[in-house]
Amino acid sequence: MPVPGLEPSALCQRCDPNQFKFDTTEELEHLGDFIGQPRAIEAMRFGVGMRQKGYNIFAVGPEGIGKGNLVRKTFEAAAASEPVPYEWCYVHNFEQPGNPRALRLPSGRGIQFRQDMDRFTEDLKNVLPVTFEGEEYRTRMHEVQESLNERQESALSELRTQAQARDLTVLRTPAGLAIAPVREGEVISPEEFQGLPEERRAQLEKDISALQEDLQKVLLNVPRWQRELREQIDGLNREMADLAVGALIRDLTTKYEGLPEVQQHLTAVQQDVVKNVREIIDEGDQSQIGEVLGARGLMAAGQARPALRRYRVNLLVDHGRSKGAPVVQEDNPTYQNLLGRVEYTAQMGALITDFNLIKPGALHRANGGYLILEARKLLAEPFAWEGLKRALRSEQVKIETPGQVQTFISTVSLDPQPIPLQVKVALLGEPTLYYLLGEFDPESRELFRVASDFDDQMERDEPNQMLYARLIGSLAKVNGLKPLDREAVGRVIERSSRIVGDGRKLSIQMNLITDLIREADYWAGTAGRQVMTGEDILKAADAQIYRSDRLRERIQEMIERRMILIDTEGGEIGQVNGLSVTQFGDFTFGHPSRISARVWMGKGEVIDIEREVELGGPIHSKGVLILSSLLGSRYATGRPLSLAASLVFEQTYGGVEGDSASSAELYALLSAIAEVPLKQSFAVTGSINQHGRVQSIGAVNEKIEGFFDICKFRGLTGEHGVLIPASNVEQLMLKDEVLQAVAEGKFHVYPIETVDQGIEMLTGMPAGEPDAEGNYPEQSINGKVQARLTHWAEERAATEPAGEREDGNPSGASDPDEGEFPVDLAGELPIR
Amino acid sequence: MSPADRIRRILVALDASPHSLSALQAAAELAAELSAELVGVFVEDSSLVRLAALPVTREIGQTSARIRELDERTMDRQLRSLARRAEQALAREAGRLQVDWSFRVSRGTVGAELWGAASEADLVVMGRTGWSARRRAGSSVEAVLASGMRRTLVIGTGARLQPTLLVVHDGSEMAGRALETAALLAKSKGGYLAVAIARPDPEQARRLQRQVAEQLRPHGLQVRYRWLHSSDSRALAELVATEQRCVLVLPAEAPQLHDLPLPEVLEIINCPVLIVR
Repeated sequence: MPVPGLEPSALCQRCDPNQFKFDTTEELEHLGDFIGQPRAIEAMRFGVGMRQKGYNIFAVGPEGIGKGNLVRKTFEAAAASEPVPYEWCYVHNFEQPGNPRALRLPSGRGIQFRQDMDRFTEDLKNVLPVTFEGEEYRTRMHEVQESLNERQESALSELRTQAQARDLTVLRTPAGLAIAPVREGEVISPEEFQGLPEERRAQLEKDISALQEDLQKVLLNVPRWQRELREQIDGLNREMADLAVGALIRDLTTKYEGLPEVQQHLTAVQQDVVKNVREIIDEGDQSQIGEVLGARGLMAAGQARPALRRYRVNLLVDHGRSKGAPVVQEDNPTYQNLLGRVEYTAQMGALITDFNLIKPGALHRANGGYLILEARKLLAEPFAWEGLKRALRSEQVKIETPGQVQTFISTVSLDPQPIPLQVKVALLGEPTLYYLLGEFDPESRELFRVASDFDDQMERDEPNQMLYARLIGSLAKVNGLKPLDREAVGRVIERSSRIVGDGRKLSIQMNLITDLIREADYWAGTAGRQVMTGEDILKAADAQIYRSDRLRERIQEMIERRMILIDTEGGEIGQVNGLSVTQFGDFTFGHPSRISARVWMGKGEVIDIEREVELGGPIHSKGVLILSSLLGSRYATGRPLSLAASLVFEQTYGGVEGDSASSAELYALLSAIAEVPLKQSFAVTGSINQHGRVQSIGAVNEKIEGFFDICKFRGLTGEHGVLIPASNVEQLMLKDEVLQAVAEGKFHVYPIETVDQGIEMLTGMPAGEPDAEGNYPEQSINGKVQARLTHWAEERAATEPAGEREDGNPSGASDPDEGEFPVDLAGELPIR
Repeated sequence: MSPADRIRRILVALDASPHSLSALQAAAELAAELSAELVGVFVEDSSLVRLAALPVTREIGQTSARIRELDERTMDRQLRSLARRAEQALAREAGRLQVDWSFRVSRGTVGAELWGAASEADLVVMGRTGWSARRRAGSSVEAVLASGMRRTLVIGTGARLQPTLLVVHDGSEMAGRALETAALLAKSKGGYLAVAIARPDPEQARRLQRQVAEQLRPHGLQVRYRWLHSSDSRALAELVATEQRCVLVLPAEAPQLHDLPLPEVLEIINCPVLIVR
């Protein structure tokens, strides 16, 4: 029984504009919510609600689906009702200067603390010189210094007096002191000394020796006196500095009551000022010289002088004006942008740094709130992924340079105290990335336990179509485009179904839809319209196709010029038009390919020429093997399958993948065995199972349109048509041109369920049903196939001894799960 | 100012001590400002040479306090080394400021040798003390001051010549010469002049101030006047403190300043002191 062709209404799930009650989308309420993502939204809510460690979110979905938007809005909604987090700042660590201290302050207090400490350093600059250059300090310092001089002088003067009484004197030599005998104030000469009586000389020697010992005792005391002097000076400095800064610090300590860490820091500051008062004052003098000389570096950077810089506050994050928890999106997630960095400044040829040059990363800014990152960008940045994982695992942000982490560099740098981290991170990425990451880095699953899976399509029913209309209207409004009329909305919906290749679905890859209406807006503008119409949408869609289909045109031209051989009329034995689809980037198109089969007597093998030359993919080979199995089980029960056959996709020079041509290959083979011609006005697509059922394939619309275009060029006769799997009918979203040709009876689309239906359509002969013994009627295709195979089997039995026959009947085992064979979806190779 | 009062040759006494290096720096700056020649003198103290020749003397290290043998060769070596350091310092400073310079070493009593060398100079610059830590002026300074040098600038460690010159004027002839010298230096330095009128009676002080103003008019200098009502050292120290940083210019002998013996002044005043005779 011939299969009736599909009605035009079945070839495209049209969207009736009259179902909408609006004239243009301007009348529609704005759609703020996301549609068609119930699973993803539920996962997001769960992820946001779960406060335990590791419940970060991986938003999985194709590019342009609106993941970032949904994640950000969900985070913002949650963050609005959450408290503003603490602020963090770094201050100098007086005990371990290499490890700056992290201080936590309530929101808004950080900037106040920074200003207070800036004012404190300014006050210091004024107060300390006044105190230390005042008369009181000078006088007391003078007294202290004089006391040492007097001590030394009085000791020496006493010695001088003693010496004088014994006709001796104390003289200063270039390296020390010496005692010499004198006469009338002058050191006596050696001759005079020798001329003295021996007793006198002995006495003098004795006196000199005694005085030398006394002098030595005095000089031995000098270091102790100097130490005492230093201690006295330190004590005086401490006393005066305490006097000067004590009041300033006391005021601040009172102000920061309830913040013990800040108060501890203030105490340390006071102790440090007292300890280093001289350095601070001296630096003040030097800084004036430095300014004159145009000194560069820390001082010339308009910052405080080095000694005073250590009293400043480096506020990493200021939440003074924040409302709710922060939501941060880092578009350039380098290691340093994520975890912060320590900057350096060049001074006199050396790179130097201090805690003031610590810069925050996105994790600091998002601490206490939410962080959004794109997985692909994150993974492309060296060390960034590892750095993020380390922070999430340890629940703290530690600023390290990648060189330190990898131990490439071991120079002395800052090692700031880590800051406790509490953040919810959402990674946005495509499914491939998510699954690859899970496969190769199991830790990613531990840290991103919530997968928010974004679908790229939604059900196309009436309520959803209405929602979709609102969504389109909102997109137009947000993008500043003209409104769409009802027909335009209908056309967008149809185009959306075509994008997903299913008449019962709508695409929610909003970037594609936005592109379409943006371009339609342009065409409406060029036509001088204020509202986008269906015509503009069609024009935009056609223009998109035209811009991408250079290669499709080239293939069609080659077919038209018979450089690629495709027959579209008459009948041929062992030759059928298969349908292939080729994908270049986002653009997919279909075109016919000739499949031919040759048969001869043999041992049951079907040679797939594509596989032999390694141009066929594994799924294609699988289709050919199923086909062989079907042949054996159907026609060679009880006798060996004594057939040899070869199958080829003619004029293909790239790879062939997919099993959507397996039905066409079977038809070519049956035609060759039965020696019955196949109608070349038909093209065929569909995969088969071992029981002879035709199964669904992918890109059905492109395949039909590919053959239609060729037939149209050669002139539609009413004989032309395409045999498609019946299970693909719901996915038909064919272009208007095809629909019109079908309506006029010039072209046909036949839904096929079994190979018997298909071969009947292609040959015009009945397929034939087997009788109780499995024999088919002679004047049927199946009968002719069976007869020829039987003939070969007998001939082979007569020519070959029984022991040499290695082949046999294929097992005939049936697969109960025939419906589970994978459909012919887009493969990796360009042609299938 | 007569040509005889011009400063063409500056003598600086060098013994490589910190005080003498400060003196060298000041002397070189002055020589550069006045286009004068700089003469460095290092005196090998003959007392030290004799001391080293004695069989009974030992040296006790200044820092180590260790007792060492001392002989003539050691002393010679030490003195030569000091002289070399002094000459190097002089060459460095003079080279930096592009000043004509010469250096000589003599042996004898420091005071006498300096006095001998100073007779050819218009200004002698000396460190406050030698290697001693005491504040009082050293014996060499005292010797030079007592010898009647016309102009002696005494400077302590770390002190620098300042643009302000504070001159004490009691109306005496010597004070007049001090005023002229101070005016000369203030002009060459582009600095200021402060004149302390040392007269206990206000009326006399005002009269003297008018005289001084008259005397200074041709110089066209900015002048501030102070009244030194008491001639004791404390009042002078307070006056110097109010000027903050300055060079004090004093007449070597002044009838109105009999309570101000130079050694005492040098002991209490920190700034450079120029004594004019």
